Amino acid sequence: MERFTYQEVNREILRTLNPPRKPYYFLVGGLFLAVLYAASCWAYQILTGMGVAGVMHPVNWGIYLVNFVFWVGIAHSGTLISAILYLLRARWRTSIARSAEAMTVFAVMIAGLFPFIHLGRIWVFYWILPYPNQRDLWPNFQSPLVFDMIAISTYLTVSFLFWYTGMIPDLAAVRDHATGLRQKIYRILSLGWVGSHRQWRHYTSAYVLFAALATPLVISVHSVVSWDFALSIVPGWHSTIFAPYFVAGAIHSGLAMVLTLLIPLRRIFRVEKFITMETLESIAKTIIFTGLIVGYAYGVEYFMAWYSGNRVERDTFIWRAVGHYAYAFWIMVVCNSVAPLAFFFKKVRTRLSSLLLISVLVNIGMWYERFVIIVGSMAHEYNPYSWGNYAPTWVELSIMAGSFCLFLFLFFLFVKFLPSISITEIKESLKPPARERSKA
Amino acid sequence: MSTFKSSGILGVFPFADDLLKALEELKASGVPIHTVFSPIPRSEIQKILGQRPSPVRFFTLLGGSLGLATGISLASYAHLKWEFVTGGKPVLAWIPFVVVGFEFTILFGVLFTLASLLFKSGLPKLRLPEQYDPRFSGDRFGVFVSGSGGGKEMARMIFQNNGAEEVRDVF
Amino acid sequence: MSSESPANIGNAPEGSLEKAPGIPLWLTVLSAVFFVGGAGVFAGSVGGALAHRAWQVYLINFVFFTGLSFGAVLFVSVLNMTNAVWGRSLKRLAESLGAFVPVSFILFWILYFGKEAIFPWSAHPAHGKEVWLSVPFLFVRNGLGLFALSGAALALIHESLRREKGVSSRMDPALAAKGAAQSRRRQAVLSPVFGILYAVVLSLLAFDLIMSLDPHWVSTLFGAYYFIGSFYTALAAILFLAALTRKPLGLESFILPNHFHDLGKLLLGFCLITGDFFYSQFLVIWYGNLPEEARYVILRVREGGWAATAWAVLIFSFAIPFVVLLSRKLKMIPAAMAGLTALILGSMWLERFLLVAPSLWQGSDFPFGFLEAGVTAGFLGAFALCVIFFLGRFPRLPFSDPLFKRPVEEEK
Repeated sequence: MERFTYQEVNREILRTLNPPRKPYYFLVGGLFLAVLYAASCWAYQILTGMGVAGVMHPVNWGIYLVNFVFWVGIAHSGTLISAILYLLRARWRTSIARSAEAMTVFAVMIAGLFPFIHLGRIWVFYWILPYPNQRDLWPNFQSPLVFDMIAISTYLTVSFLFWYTGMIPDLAAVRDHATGLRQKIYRILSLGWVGSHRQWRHYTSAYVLFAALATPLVISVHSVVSWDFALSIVPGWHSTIFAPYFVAGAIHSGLAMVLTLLIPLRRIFRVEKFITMETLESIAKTIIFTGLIVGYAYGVEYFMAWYSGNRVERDTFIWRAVGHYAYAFWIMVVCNSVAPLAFFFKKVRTRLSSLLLISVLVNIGMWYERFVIIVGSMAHEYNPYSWGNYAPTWVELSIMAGSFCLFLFLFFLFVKFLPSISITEIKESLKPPARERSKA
Repeated sequence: MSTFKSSGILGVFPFADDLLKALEELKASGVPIHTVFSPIPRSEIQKILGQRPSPVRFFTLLGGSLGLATGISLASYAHLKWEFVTGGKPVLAWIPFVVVGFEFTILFGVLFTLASLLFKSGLPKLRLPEQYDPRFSGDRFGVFVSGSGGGKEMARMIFQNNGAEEVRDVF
Repeated sequence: MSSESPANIGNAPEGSLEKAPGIPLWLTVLSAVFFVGGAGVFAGSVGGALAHRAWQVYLINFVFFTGLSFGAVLFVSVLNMTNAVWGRSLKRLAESLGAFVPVSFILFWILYFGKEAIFPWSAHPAHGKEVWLSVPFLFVRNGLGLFALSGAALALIHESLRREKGVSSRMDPALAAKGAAQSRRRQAVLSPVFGILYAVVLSLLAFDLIMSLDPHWVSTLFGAYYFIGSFYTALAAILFLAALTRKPLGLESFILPNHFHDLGKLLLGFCLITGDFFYSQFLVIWYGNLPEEARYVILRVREGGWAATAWAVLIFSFAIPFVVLLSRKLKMIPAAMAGLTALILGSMWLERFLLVAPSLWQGSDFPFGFLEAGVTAGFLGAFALCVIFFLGRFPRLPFSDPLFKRPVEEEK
């Protein structure tokens, strides 16, 4: 990273919080309207019933759950970047950690909405919570759905607290730079942080501990989500490789989303000197790695389906490739395991256009992977009499589009109200101002 | 932080090496250092001030253990209430309960860590101390020595000798 | 002898110009005795009534030591790919563990002579799997895979050593620099190639040599479980070797307590990952309760002798290392780490035993006795001889690696 002074770092990053220009308002306004539209579609579904969604026997889990798994997956790379790479002392994470964590928090929130949307009778959602009640009813703690509830709420809490704690010193920097009402708001948000040696002592310790706790959490959360499927005996789902396969796939899609968001962000805010090409290249190299893992998983699943000699398993896997949803399968394979291989070439991973293109392809591919796994398996289970296809309805598609708009809406608000690059961590990565150096 | 409202003298330093020299001189002359402000954490500051690693990690351990116990006991209690054999699995099956226990471990560990961080750091606080300068979150370091009389004058001298940009009396 | 450093190494730290203390002769002799003794025990048993037990323990040792050896080379490859600086002093030690690779390749072919004892499907072909589980096909594909993997491993180590030779001989500096750059490029290409081959070939090995012993049992994660477990074992071995050879090889100033701390953290991470992979398989199989899958697990956790072994593996491979490796202080004491990693190595051996033996062993008694100890000692002796040979011939630190610097003592 270039040599900056602390003053420059503060100035450059706090500059991103300046009042935005007109296009921003239009964009945010448009996104908000789209979210309202999706919310009204959901209200329509609640009033009319789940029939307006396409879910029906045999495919009882449709794109609401595809989106659930997709958004939980997106959330994972944020924690990977902030927590795991922090523990591994990878320098390239510094400038992207804050935005990636924000991405995690928003993605988990949106992911958490989808089980509610899928539930239909949303007013009884609290039945899955373990609360003491008059009839002494409790959830079944052996059920993967209850695991989900515990894991996702834990993940939401932890990633929010991790994100917020990381921001406290930066919020103090914003407070010290602001005036009037803004200053009052940030004073409350920064909790009165002053950067005393006592505070730093506890803070650095707590941050490492957060990172150390968040790391196994992130692996367990997507393992738990994968077990929603693997603990069943549906062909194509009952597979021991699901937990690491899903975690790798989650990181794969999350990193791609990071690229998709940050390449425009760095250009719009002109923070290329912080989010350098080296950072983007490192993300691209990690995407090669996760893409290879996902490709390995595809290969092993196919091999094992053949090797096991299990007729149903073999048929499911053949049908995935040539059946009704074959297009989804091939999009998945090409976008997830073939496209990222292009990053082996330095030219491809240092050019913004190819980085952006491949990241979008990976996102599309990972969405279709969830679709192929969830819908593809349910449509073609053991009994040929009960095979059937599924197509999402306009209600489901509207809500899905709304989820993407909600994500972008929250992210746009984030970049304008909160420091999207970690001021403190950037400063920590620089050499501190020293009299000798300034003389020379 | 010990006393919120205290009087003393504040030195503002633009350079980190000056700050460290000043701290060492203060320590050598036995002047008690109240607070060192910095925009980023520096392990050298912690070393000079003779600080041991933070006790937050014990709270993490406590929280984690409590979480594990809570998770396993909650799941066990719920299952023992009705004693259903679901899916052919035993009533109390430790294998799935591992997941429940694990998640609660992490959750309580994080909550306890955060609580101890806030408690130990004296956060949240509505008012900032008098001796705080907004530049401390930017690019300036600060040393605050509380008290009056001899120590204060010694501190003033040390600050001025070590390139303090500003030396301010705080009342 | 290239343990003497020449005058024109640019960044060779002081102290490296003295000849390194040599490896004690008694160690070499002991290893040779172990090897010859073990080979003798094995050769004596394969003809007789204990042939099945002999081949069983041969297979167990083969998969354990092969995985360990390749895992150590994977560590080298990962260091290269991530341009990590912290682990450079350990690079050569890791490469020394990879010296077993060519020996392992030879030992693989010896398995052919035990095919009736090892592969239950060689006498009674598994229904539906005749194509895949046929002895010639198995040996051809695994032979090719191991050939490719061994080739990549040896090429990687060779490139790493080439620079030492290139720098140490009185070469024209310009040519030496060009050679160094070429070697660096080759290592940069070989490392990911080795990484991919590692995952694919070791998965294949696991499916063919371990999973096929129970032909109707499948687990998609099995291959990955084997190669991740092997990497975990390799990390433990590297740490063990570092702790053991620090003083004898004069490496105290290069391998500091913070290296142990870092490697200990990595070991903790892979302890958790291996445990997680184990649990992923266990939970899915337990939950689905499908007879064809559950049979394998039930045998290993319910039947007396095997169950005790399973508990031992759980405690010594996962539970105890997890607790010990959480402590910062303990990680930095080489002696403590030597003890812990020895425990992990023994327990991971037992783990491989637990994967293989219950599928093959038909008798009612527990197949662990003098024969097992003997053959294991033989493998251990062969492995130790390879490491000793390597460390005796080649510089013990990667002096010519530009990322290798004299480490600075970190504040505690």
